[in-house]
Order: sequence, then C-alpha cells, then structure tokens
Amino acid sequence: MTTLTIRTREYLTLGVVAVLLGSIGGVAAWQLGVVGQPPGSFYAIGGALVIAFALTFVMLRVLVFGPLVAEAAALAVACESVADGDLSGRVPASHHTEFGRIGRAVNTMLENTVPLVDSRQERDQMQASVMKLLAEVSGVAAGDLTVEAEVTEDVTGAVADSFNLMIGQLRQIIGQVQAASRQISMAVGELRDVTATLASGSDDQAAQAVEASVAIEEMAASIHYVSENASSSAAVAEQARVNAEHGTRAVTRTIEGMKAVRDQVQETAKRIKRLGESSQEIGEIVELIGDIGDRTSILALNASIQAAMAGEAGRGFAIVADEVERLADRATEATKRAGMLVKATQGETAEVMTAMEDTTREVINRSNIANEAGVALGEIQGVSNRLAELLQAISDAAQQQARGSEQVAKSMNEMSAVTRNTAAGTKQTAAAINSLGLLVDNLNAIVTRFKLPPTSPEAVAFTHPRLVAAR
Amino acid sequence: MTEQPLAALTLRDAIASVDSRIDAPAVSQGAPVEATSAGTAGRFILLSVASTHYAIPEAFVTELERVPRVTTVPRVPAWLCGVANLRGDIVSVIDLRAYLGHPPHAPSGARLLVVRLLDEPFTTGLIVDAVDRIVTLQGDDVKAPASPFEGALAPFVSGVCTIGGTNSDRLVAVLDVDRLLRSPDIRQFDDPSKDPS
Repeated sequence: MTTLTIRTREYLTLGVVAVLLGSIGGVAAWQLGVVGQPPGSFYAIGGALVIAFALTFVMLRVLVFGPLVAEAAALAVACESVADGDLSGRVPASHHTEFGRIGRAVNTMLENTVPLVDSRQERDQMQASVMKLLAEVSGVAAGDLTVEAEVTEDVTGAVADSFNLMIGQLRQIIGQVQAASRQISMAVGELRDVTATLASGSDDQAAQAVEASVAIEEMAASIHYVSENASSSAAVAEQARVNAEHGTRAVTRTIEGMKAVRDQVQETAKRIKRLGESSQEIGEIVELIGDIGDRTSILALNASIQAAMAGEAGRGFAIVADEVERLADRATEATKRAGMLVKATQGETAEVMTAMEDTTREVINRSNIANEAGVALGEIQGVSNRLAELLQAISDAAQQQARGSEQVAKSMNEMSAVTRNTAAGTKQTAAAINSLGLLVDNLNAIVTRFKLPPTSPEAVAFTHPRLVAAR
Repeated sequence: MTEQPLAALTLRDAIASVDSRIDAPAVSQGAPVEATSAGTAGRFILLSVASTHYAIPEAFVTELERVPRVTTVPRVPAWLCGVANLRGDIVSVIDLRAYLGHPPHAPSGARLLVVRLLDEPFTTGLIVDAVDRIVTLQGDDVKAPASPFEGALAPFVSGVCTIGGTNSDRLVAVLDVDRLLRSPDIRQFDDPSKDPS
C-alpha cells in the first residue's frame, strides 16, 4: 500500500479516503453480493459500487468528509512528514474530532517517539558509516592487521578509534607473538644445539669421570707412596739427628782434646822458656868461664914473664905457666864455642817459643772452628728434629690425602652414574625440544597469517630479556 | 903447640905434659939478659895493634893486665890516656892505637902491657889490641926490614921476622922498646923529680 500511495499527497489522501470509503462500500457490497449474486457480476457490482463510492465520496467530500478530510489531510501531512523522517512536524490538534484525538495522539506519540527514533538521514548516515567501517575492517578477519579505520566525526568515529586502538593493541600483541615465536623458534634451535652439546658433553663427562676415577686411584696410590717415602725420610732425618748428636759429642771431645793440647803446649812453652832462661844462665856462666880463662891466660903470661925474670930458678915454673896458658887458651876457645852454642840454643829457643805461640794460636783457632762445628752440628740436630717432625706431618697428611682420594674416587663413581643419568635426561630433553620446535613452527604458521605493517615497531618491541642475554 | 880436642884436655893430661917437660933436657929457654938487650934473640911477646903484629922482648915486660880504669890527665896528647893504679904503682898509660894515629877504639881483648927500661927505673903502660903469646926467636930469625916501616912506630922497628901462625905465616915487626921508651914523645911528661938519676 505504501508503494502505491506515496507518489503524491493527493493520491494518498484520495487513496485513504477511497480505501476508507471503498472499505465501507466494499463491506456493504460484500454483504449484498454474498446474499444473492453470482461471482461473475462481482466486477459490475464493484464498478457500481465504485461509482457509488465515488458519489458517496463526493458527497461525503463535500458534505461530511470535507472537514474530516481537512483534518485527515493535516493528519496525513503530519504523518507523511513523519513517514519521510521528519519527526518535527505536528498535527494541528485544534479539532475536537476523532482525527483531532488521533492527531493529538500522534502528536503525543511523536513527542514520545522523537527522542527514541533517529531521523532517517541519521540512520542512513550511520548505516553508511557502519558499512564503511565494516568495509574497512573486514580485512582484519582475514588477518590483515595493516588496515586502519578512518576516524570520522560521527558515531562510528569513536568505534573506529576504538577499533584502531584495538587493532593497534592486537597488532602489538600479534607482533610480539610473532617476534616471540620467532625467538622461541631460534631459541629452540639454540636449545637443540645446546642440548646436543650437552648430550655429547654428558657423554664426554661420563667418560672423563671414568678417567678421573682411574687417575684418582693412581693418585691415591702415588699419595700412598709419598706417605711411605715421607715415613722413610722421617726415619732418615732421625738417623741424621742421631748422627749429628754423635758429631756434637765428637766435636766436644775434639774441643776438650784441643784444650788439653793447648794446655800442654802452654806448659811446654813454659818449660822451653825456663830452658831459655837456663841457657841464658849457662851463657852467663860460660862468659864467666871465658873471663876466668882470659884472666888465667893473663896470669899464665905474667907467670911466664916472672919465671923468665927468675932465670934458671924459674925454668920449671915457666913450663908450668906455659901449660897453664895453653889450658887457658883452650878453655877460652872452648868457652867461645860453648858461647856460640848457647847463643844458637837461645836463638832456637826463641824460634821454638815463637813456634809454640803460633801453635797455641793455631790450637785456639782450631778450637774455635771446632766450637763452630759443634754449634753447626747442634743446629743440624735441631733442623733434623724439625725435619723429622715435618716429614711425619707430611706422612700423616699424605695418609689423610690417600683416604680423601679414596672418598673422591667413590664420589667420582657416583658422579659418573649421575652423569649417565644426566645424559639420558638430556636426550629426553632434546626430544622434548624437538616437539617444542614443531609446536613453535605451528605457532609460527598461525601467527604468520596475520599481516603486519612492514616495519612494525611492535614486531621487534618484544624481546625476551633472557633470550637477549643468551645471545 | 899441638891442638888437642877440648874433651881430651884434662887436668891430669896437663900435669903430665908439664912433668914431661920439666924432666926433659933443658931446651933453649931464652937468652940471658945480656943477649936480650941486643934485641936479636930470646923470648918475645907477640902482640897486635891496628892489625899489625909486633914483638917485644920479654925482658922489657914486667907484667900484663887487662886494661884498668884510667884516670885522665889534662893537657896531654890523645894517645896519652892518663894514669892507672896497678896494685899501688901509678903508671902512665899510652894507647898505641892512638899513638899510631888510629881512633882510640879498644877491642874487647885489649891488654895493658907494663914495660920498663932495663937500666933505669922507668915503667909505663902500653895499651895494645891483643897479646898473643910468648915466642922464642933465634938471632938469625930477625932480619932487617925489606922496606921501611911507615907510621909513628917506624923509627922503633929494629927488624922483622916471620912467625908461623895457625892459619898462615905472619910478618911481625920487632920493636926496640928501649929506644921507644927513651923517645922524646914518651919522656916529655916524665916527672924529673921521680927520676933518681
């Protein structure tokens, strides 16, 4: 009905009235027709009815419906304007008719509806905006996150803004997810490498643990050897101490012997000095004898002279005097030789004294040296003691080390077992990481469907700090 | 004089030697005083002064001493040492070394030889370096000096002889003591009051 009557206001009005009247006539005719007429004459009846209606219409138009029509027209106008979307129009509601009531009701309705119903223009505009928005954002569904909704001033502007914000967030998230997935992918690769290294490292470690066990056992053996050697060395040091003690005693005896030698030498020196003094006295005595010989010689000469003066009587006396002189001469000669001998003896005595003093000095020096040797031997004794203690300590420590190294060997065996377990675990980890790699590849495939701006800052914004650190 | 080892020399040996010589026939025991005065033969005392050997006839020698303490006298030549007291007798002492012009250095074996004149009571002491022994010379042992002696004692040398020493022969000048003691040098300080002539 609407499509037929909206062409013109007149047609509408007419239509309305016609419908109204037609309805009335129709209803009357239907009631007549139904009573006794065949269906073929329906159109004639209809036509008659139409004419009747027309006449009625004219009459009613002029007579009855004129004012009503006017009111209806006004109402219609108002309704049309409403129908056109103009909700500002109002029905003149001055008539106290049914139309007036309708008009007032329409007015009331309009008053109540206007705030609720936008105008059509607005609706269209909104629809267009929404359509535009939809068109703009439809790519997002396909994963295109490069789109950007135009922010307009109308209602969809806010939506577009929110959408843009949301897309921005989404883009950021997706970018981060992509980056993260790439990084995870890389990390998985690295992890795979690391795990492979770990696995081979674990194998190596297990092998090395075995080697280390062997080495530690060897070390334990050598430490044991060291301990034994230290014990032997301690015994040797003890022997050295004993020897040094013997040496000290020997040096002490040597010093005592030197002292005795010195005393004897000094005693001998005294005796030789006395001998020298005696030879001095002998020299004096020899001198005295020489003097006596000299005097005797003089006396003998005098006697000879006197005998000569006595002439024949002194002849025998002269012979005696001659003999006495010879004796005196020989005595003088002998005392000269004795004097020389005494002098030589004194010289030699002086030399012997000097030699004795040298010997005494030498003996004192030797005694001092022997003393020093004694001191040194005492020090050696102390050092040997200390050495023996130290070597004992070394022996103890080495034994402790041997025990410790046995413990270490045991620990190494345990560690070897642990390492084997670790190697198995590492292989499992490698398998898990391979699965993780597949998952990450899937994730990559999924997130790659999202299209991002070529240089999206969000794509690189997310970087896991630990992965950065790992590089 | 034969040398014997010192150890072999005992008093008994000496006495035996003396006895044998006393019992033996008399050997030439020096000329009488008359012969001695001639100065050519007899017993002579051998001495040395400044490495020169001299012989003095024994008759002129009264005694022999060590050099005594000499009391110097003033205003006399250096060779006149002074006077000495010999057992109460005062004798003048002449240093022959100094007289010969040598420095007055007396060796340890220096002797004082008291000499006299035979015909008058005049004695004086002569200091010599050493007195060796008494020798007996025959008349033909002493010869006239081949060349004149030099020095202060040259005028008093009456002859020379050769004496066999221990090592080698030595030339000995025989001094004429009589002439020496009568020389003006010696007699110039003689106290005339003491002279009995």
